[in-house]
Amino acid sequence: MRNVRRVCVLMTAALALLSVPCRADGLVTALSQNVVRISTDFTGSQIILFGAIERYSLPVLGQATQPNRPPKPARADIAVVVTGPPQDAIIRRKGRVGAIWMNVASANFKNIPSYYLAAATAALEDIAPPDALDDQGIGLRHLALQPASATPGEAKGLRDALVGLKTEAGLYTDLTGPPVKGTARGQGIHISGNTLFSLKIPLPPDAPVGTYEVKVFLMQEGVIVPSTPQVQYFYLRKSGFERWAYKHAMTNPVLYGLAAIVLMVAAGFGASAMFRKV
Amino acid sequence: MQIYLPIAEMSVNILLILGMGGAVGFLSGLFGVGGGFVLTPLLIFTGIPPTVAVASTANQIIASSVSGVVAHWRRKQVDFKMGGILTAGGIAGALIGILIFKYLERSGQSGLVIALSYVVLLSTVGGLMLYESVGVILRARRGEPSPAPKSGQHLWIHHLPLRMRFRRSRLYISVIGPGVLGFLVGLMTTVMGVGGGFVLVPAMIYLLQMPTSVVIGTSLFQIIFVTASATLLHAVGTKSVDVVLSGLLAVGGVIGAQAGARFGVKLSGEQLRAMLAVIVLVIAIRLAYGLTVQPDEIFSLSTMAVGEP
Repeated sequence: MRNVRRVCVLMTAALALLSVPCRADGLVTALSQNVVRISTDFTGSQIILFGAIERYSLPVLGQATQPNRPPKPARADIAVVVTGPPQDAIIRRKGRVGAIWMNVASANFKNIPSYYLAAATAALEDIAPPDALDDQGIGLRHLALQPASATPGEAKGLRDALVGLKTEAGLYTDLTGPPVKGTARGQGIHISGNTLFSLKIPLPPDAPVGTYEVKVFLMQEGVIVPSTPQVQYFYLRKSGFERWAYKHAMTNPVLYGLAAIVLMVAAGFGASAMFRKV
Repeated sequence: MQIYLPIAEMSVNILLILGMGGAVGFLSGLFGVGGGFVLTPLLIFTGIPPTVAVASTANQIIASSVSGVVAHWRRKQVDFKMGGILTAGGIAGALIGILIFKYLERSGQSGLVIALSYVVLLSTVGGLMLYESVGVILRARRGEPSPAPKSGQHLWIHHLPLRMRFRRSRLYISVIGPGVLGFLVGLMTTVMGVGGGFVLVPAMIYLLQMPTSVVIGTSLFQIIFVTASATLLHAVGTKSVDVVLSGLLAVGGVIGAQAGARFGVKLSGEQLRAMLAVIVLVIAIRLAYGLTVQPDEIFSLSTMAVGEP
């Protein structure tokens, strides 16, 4: 217990050094970074969520039912949902038409998260009622992903394909549920000493630029503790030349296009001048 | 070594892109074509979104065409008047092309239409070139003289109204033929991301009957303007010109083009045309095959940040 307290003090000190920690009833969390910059050599990144709970105790795998131990504070669970900037998406399915394969079905999604990650310290259905999970979109199967329009009869298949493609790209991740051997399920949140937890939030190279929202839920006795979720944000930004070029391509397209032309004309003249002397 | 492309929003291997630019530049130096017809499909195979591949290739072709025109201009092998008319038609074609491109993108069939137009165009041009060049090579082997060039013989397109004198090409023909030809090439540039040299060059020789010496310089001259307007139209219309990508391709392309031009001196015109024809046909066959086989992934996803046009 004393050991735990010492770790807790250290952890709190560490949290103070990180970004501004966020505090709600019984829950303190912080992110390792608030801004992730995309520079020329960006190949993906990772953000770490740290947190501590007070008055409750987090479950440690394999330690749930051990007799002859001093009584512990009431058990609580944590669920984390990370969502990236919203986007519209069109998913299409190819089918055979005559001799060739072409797009034959499509579904249009409006305002879906470009990035999504969910993690929890226990099976979701054991720690919160299903409608609360649906309301808050905790876990991929509780995330509202309804197409605004779709080829008749294809909506469900296309939704699953969307989740599949996003998962493959590392943009959708579901780490909730009990640990399943050989998968990432239940492996997300790392717990130490019943009160401290951390979660690695991986950002793949094609994670979209924008504001990411990290929500931390505290669950106790089958309900979400009312003072949660605790919400924090981090920003994925292009930096340096990438940011400059992207900004102008979007806001000054005429100028950007002319610059692209001038650049190539100069390159052409430069090349012919350079190689004439050789 | 990875580099992040700001518009494509993905990171790619810098050596791979430089290498592709170099290989295509080599072909363009060797055969006197822009190389867009090889480059665009290659970039799409790499995973670059088709729109970005088309727009950035059009941008990159400007560099290789400018360096080519400079060389031909010094030798007085550019017919600026003819180039001007081709360009006027080309810009009109590029304008219509961007509308078609945006329409296709919305309908979800842009990939199919691009691939199909490539198959039709490449197999036609490749087949004709192969037939012609192999014929010349075989006749040379048998010691027969090649048939006399058909210059001076007038086709019906020359007799349309609005005739004009083209001094450098030594022609007095209607402007409708070159205008329509330029228009079609402009259309191809925005829809397919090709400069159109591989269509323009044979068309100028066989349809307009321009002297071969002026053809390459004039075609490169018009390609500069058409690819420049395609770049601008894509920058405004689809916002998908990636200057990091086109810059890298240009660096590789310029070096490759010089190597290609030096290597090309060792080969005869017919051999070059036969080799180019084979490459063109192989790409056409590969694309046609790709359309008829079940793809590994039948689903495709395109996304757009909320609030963007």
